Amino acid sequence: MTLVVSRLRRSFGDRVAVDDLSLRIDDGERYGLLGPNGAGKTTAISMICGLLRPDAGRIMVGDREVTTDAVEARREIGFVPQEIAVYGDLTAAENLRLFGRLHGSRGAELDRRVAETLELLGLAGRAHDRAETFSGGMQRRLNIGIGLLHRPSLLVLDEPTVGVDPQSRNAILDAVERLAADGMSLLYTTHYMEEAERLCDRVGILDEGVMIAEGSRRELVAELGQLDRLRLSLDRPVDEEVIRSAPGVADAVFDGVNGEVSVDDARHRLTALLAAIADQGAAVRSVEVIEPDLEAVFLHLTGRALRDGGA
Amino acid sequence: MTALFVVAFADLRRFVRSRSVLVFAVLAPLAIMGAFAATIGSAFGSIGVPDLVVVEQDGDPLLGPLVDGLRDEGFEVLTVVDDPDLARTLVEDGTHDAALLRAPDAASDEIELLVLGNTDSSAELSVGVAEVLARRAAAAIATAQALDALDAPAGTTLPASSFVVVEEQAPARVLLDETYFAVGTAGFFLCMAAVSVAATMHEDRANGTLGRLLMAPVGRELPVLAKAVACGVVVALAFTTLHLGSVVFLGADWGPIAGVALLGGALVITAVGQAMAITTVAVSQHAAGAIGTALNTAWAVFGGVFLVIPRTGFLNTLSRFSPFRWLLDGVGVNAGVGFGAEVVVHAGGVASFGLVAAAVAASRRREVRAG
Ligand SMILES: Nc1ncnc2c1ncn2[C@@H]1O[C@H](COP(=O)(O)OP(=O)(O)OP(=O)(O)O)[C@@H](O)[C@H]1O
Ligand SMILES: [Mg+2]
Repeated sequence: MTLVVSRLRRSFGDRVAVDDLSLRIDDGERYGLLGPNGAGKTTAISMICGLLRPDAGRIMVGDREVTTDAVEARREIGFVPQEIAVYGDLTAAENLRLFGRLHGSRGAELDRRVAETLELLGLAGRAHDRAETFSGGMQRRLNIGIGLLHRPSLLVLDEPTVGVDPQSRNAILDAVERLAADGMSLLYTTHYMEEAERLCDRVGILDEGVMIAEGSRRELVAELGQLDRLRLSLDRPVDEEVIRSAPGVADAVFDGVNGEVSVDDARHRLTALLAAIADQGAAVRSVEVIEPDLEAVFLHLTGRALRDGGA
Repeated sequence: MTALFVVAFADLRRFVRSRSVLVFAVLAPLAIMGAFAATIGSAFGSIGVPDLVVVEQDGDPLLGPLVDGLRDEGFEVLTVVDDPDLARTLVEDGTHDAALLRAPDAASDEIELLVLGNTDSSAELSVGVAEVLARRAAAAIATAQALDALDAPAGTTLPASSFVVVEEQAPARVLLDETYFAVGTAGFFLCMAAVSVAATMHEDRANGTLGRLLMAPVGRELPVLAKAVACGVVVALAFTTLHLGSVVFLGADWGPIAGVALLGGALVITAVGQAMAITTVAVSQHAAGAIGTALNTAWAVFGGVFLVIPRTGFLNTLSRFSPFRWLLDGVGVNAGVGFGAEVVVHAGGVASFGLVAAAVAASRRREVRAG
């Protein structure tokens, strides 16, 4: 499902929360919306999902306009809010069934989807416990389950991993990855750069309501003008000059068998570089790729760290 | 349509689990009805000098002496009117305990004196007293007449020589016993409980589930309608329980079931209507609770839930602005006269408050934000 957002704007009083935001997510594309606290991510997503009226702008989900054809547009969208939004006094299965039925699913199909979703999120064992008895991470997983139960063609997740331990977080990211692999379009907001890097084909960076940069991670990093670095450890010394002349390499500094090579695109250049080393009769003991990350991009663009205290 | 009941049912399931609604809507009012019945209710039983109304039509030579006689007997709260229908009304609505009037078609040689008493049990005693006193006064008059007759010049037509005292019971249109407090308490608590149920809308908004409902492919009005349905079911079930509970445990008499059902339905409309109006107007659950308490307490006080309102004057007029007054009167008519057009009118009076409130609720639309 294609999502096209054009010139979206929304203010709260004097504060402009989202300012002239445009973005496009193609069918099956995974898009990350990045930004620090208060950047306007939730406001933007609320408008995209038809929960908040924009002051201006247009939102198309497929060929439906969200502001005028909200009910139909919402059939296509699965929404996972930032705050956990589940009925604490209903069980996990009851929560899922309720929202499944509202999306028109029933009978055996509903049973199957509820079971699948519980399985996908690792909650099958707690299906008949009330949600209020769940740990925070389990509630988060249920929160996500409600949004994806009806197999939407556009899944919108607003910071789904906040306050979750690394294990739950991994389970959540795995589940999202699996769904995205099935062809679901994804709109994912976060301020964890590493999540965006792992999940998303393309990211937009939002700051104070304004989209300050957009593109694939590689494009954004290239804009930053920083190079990847390869940290190598060899079994015998090699000639620095030969390495420097390999394609894409900007610089190479070796101290005996250990050295660091600056290269414009480490992943693509690595094979040629390893071949050049092998040509000199040396073997690689270890290699580490250090890429400039989105964290660095954000810092570069705004002069501020993405999260207080850094990543 | 299905979506509406899916959401309403989920809400009901939650209310059952939370149990606070059960306490608020059923147990608390039953306890308070019991307390009323045990204290204030029984106070109605002890009545002193009966409050009589006597009909003295122009030129009736007989009731004049009777009135004087009754005044001599110490009846201070004695009202003399010249219209038998007015007297009947005054007894029926509980303003007076009993009326003394001439029976319309008595045999010409007798004077039939009708003692019209209120059927309400608490008035029984005073009717008895009135009857005894009426007989005594009648006997005194008869004696005086006999003495007069001895002195009368020949050829004078004598008035009838004997009194017959007939007793008739007028249907009470007003509740004056424990039923009164049962009905009032039920109305008040159900409206309060309705607010507490409807105001969970704010909880749903705060915990994000309302936003989630709105994310489903359903109309924007669905959450409000579903809440109203859930609220209506809670109030209807609680009303039924309170009605049966007050009948079984307190011996209350609400009259024929058709009238009770109609008035109960009207109460459900008003309880839900005001609760939804308050919920949509209030900015938070707390505010809704406060407004609900203020409104319903005012309605209860002015409508006579806690204290019986006099039947005349400003307070009487003011009480018409409370649905509880219409409910109390409606049940009064239903219990006293039976189910009929008048009960329907009172049910309409009760429901009109809810319909106005529902219009207020419908005019309020709030935007819901996801995060
Ligand atoms: N209902 C509201 N009333 C007033 N201001 C609001 C409201 N919602 C959001 N804002 C303001 O809009 C701006 C953007 O908020 P938003 O919640 O969209 O940020 P966010 O990017 O989702 O942040 P976070 O990462 O903390 O979730 C903030 O300055 C916020 O204070
Ligand atoms: Mg947010």
